[in-house]
Amino acid sequence: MTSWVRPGRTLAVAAVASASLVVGVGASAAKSKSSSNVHGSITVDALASSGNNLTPLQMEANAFMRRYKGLTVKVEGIPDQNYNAVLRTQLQGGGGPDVYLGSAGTGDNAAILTFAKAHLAADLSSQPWATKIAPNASGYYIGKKLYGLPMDFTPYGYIYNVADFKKWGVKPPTNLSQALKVCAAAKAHGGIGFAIAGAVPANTGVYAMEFAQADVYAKQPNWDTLRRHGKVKFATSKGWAQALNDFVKMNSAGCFEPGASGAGFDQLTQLLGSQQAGAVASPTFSIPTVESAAHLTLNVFGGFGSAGEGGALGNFSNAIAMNPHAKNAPLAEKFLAFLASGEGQHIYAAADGDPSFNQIKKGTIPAKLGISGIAKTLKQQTLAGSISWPPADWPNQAVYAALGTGVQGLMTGQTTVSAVLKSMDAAW
Amino acid sequence: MSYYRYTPRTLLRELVMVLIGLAWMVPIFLLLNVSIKPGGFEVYGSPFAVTSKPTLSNYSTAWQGSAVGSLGHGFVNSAIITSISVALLIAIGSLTAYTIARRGGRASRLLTGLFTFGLALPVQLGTIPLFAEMRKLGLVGTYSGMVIIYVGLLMPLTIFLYMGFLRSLPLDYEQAARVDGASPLRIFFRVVFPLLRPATGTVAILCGLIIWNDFFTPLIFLGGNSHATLPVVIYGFVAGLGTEWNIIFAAVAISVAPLVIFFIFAQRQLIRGYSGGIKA
Amino acid sequence: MAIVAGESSAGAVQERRPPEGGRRDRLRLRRGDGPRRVPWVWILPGLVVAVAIQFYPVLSGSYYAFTSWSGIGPSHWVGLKNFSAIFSNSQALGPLVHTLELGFAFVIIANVLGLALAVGLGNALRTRNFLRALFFAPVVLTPLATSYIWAYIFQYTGPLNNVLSALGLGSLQQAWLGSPTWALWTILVVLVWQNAGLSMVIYLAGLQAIPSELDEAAAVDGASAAYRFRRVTLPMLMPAILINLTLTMIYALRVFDQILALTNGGPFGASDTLATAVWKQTFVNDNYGYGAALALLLTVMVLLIAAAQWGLVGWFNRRASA
Repeated sequence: MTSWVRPGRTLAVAAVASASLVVGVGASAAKSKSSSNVHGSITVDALASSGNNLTPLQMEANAFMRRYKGLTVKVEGIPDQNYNAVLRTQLQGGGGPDVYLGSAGTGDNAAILTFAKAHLAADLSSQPWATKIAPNASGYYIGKKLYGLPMDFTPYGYIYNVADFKKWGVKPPTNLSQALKVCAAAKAHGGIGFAIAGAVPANTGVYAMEFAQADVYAKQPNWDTLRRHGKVKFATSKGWAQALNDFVKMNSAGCFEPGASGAGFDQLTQLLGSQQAGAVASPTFSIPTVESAAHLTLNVFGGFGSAGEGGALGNFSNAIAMNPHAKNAPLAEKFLAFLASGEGQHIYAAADGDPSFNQIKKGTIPAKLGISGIAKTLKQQTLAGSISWPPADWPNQAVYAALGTGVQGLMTGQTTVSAVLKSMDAAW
Repeated sequence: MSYYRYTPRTLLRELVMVLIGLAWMVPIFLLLNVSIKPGGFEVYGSPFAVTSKPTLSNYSTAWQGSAVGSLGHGFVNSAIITSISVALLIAIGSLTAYTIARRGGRASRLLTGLFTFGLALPVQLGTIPLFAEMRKLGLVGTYSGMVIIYVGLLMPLTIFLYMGFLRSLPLDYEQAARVDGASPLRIFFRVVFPLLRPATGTVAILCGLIIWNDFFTPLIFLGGNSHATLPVVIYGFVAGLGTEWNIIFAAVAISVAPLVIFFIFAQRQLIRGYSGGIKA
Repeated sequence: MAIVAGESSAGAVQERRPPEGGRRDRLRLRRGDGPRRVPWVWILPGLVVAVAIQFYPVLSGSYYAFTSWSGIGPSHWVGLKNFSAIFSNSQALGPLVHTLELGFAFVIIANVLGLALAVGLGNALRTRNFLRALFFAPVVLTPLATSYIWAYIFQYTGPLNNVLSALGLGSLQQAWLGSPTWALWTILVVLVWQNAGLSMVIYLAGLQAIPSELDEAAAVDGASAAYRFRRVTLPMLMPAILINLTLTMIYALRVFDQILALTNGGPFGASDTLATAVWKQTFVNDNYGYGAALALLLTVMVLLIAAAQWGLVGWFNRRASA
């Protein structure tokens, strides 16, 4: 049915808060360019993750080839578990695709800024569409140089089954004690408050981040900046300890499904789809697929903690980068320009089940995306520049991995909150 | 031939083995059972209950393939790469092992040690340098590149298996041929290679399975969908459909069927061949 | 007479065997066949391809074990720092212990079971061909596919727990793959299920190579079945044992895709082995240098255990023939 999290995007990105994303520039810019030197074919590395559906980049490539006859864009779909390793090996070995899907920031193995530092992502600052992206957008720039093209926006939150919550007589919780009441009500009706894929660090990590959003970032939005400068540490942060303790409280209150520590993503689909589980912390792009597969209505609420509401998390995780050693740079640039165009941006966001930047800003997020529950917060936070997915800006993937496996250890009682936080500092 | 007499105790043993065999097959039964279940949440119903609405539609869905490619396409790719690689491994490996075994001396011992060492090497550390090397040679994204990689990676195992057998091979035949004035090449092809058949069977099966099932190497060196091998296509179902176990299992059943049929027919040769140098 | 495969690496095995005619001939031939000898140039294709594809890339990749390389961009030489980090870090100890536990358990169980199946499926059984095919079937299954089947079986709502509750053993139900106690052993079950058939077939071939007259003669002399197995069958089976030990050991120490697919090394590292740790450090955690050092350590371990195995088999053989 759906994959709940794709590595390229799980650990994704940073606030492109003030970025004003382009609509309608690229295509015309590309046309104005002399097309005589653009010919032949390019390859694009992308995730192969949508089952029998075409991947967003394949749809882009098809649209591109329909428009420009005689040009070929070959999209290589690579299964997500191996995507990062394959891409890294190919680029590091001096080869690889002309254009590839990465994620914004540095906190991921396919993060474009990490590639950029290793001279494996091309400087895109002089592309015709580049000026339309605000110069301060983090996760895409090093200094004044731009290294990626942001596609759709990925919000994170708790996806919940509207009918279940109604039946249980509860509302989306805004703090921990309300959430515990949701769990109790669910149990009384033979259901499960929250489903978690305990065996998958990418999902346990999302839970931890939702609590961190409420207990850390809502109060101190610049916490990561302080951490980068060594002014604060995970291990000594009261907020972070609070966040993980909140999770432990959820766990010991029996909020999660039995056997949660061994559950994978497929159990999430099963539990939510069969109406047993009320809510799941996840990126929201899976909503349309689950809704249509299981015939239910889903919506989203934001993070909560013992300190209260946390609001939304999210970023432009999908970043398209160009190989500086591209065999056919003119065509690669032309394809990027198409992706930056209104048409290109629309195709991607629609295919992915995510909103585009303009939809968020104007408050015109399509209802079928099922995220009306956080649309308002999303808009406010976006305009205030306070929306982000912090792990994207962490220095490497190991920090988020330490958090994800650490939460797993908290569920099974193999580790303690302070040990998890220490291991995150060590990985930093 | 008291050895083969069918006594009551043999009957008991037969029954016990059949029971163990049935238990061994439970996972395969589950695989087939789930593969004929209609989609939706019945997949999660009782795993042992045979569905009331068996369907083969999962098989046709699976055959059409995942986002990565079609199963048939994956089959052809896997079959080409596996068969050519195995043929070359047998040809080159047997010749190399034969030379090392027959020459003897210090150089021979050194080479034996080298290839045995190769069995234990951490291949994954070589991936990036190997990719750079293959790219310079223009072999990335080609079948010939894949074949060369497999031949190189599995050469130590091939030689390990041939060497053991060769040491136990009596020299009488070779000697007789030599007396008749045959050249070394003729002796190898006419006399030695046919005698090596059991070891060749071992090499074919072990190396063939490793190549047929390999997943990571083709992803890196062939790219994703355009040359997807069978395991890559199957993995595409998991990454994509997530929970549709019925379709994944149908795909698995299709991919395994030819190998199981092959084993049933080739069994006697294989078991003899598996002796890996043990000669009756 | 049965002689060894892989004896190449265990010359001692044969050294102690009573000399036979064939062996003397061989020695004579090796020394004295002058210009008609097999030309060395024949090894070139095999040697060149192995060096180019395996030895050279692995050696040049091993360089990273002595650097602080993240896995991308430039690397910096740090000498033996990665190795000292491994030995001073108690977290690295977990994967090492798991590797040894899984390795030894797998080698012993796969071999004992493989041998038991081979003996049980001897020539007398009428269903032997069918049953042999049946036990061999999992061997040809793609490891990933095997993992999917078993992941499904071990799910909390899966078949295993269903059976347990149907048997009234509901209290034993648990998240098998998510249990710190059980995760590693569920992996063991999967590995044994997939590979016992291979061991069985190698043992079958070994058993068939034993002349039945030998066993019968001992039986006529009134030796018990257990005695015959220990004094006749087992020593004659040493070559097959040696191949099986080597293959299962190398397999168990290096396997990682099944582990990644089943538990991803979890929960909280409870089923991480050196092989999965290498994968995670090199390709997930941006610690390529450290991961490379772990990989080299694993190689040394494989070689040491292999040598120990070969030595043990040689010792056993000498004792048996004494």
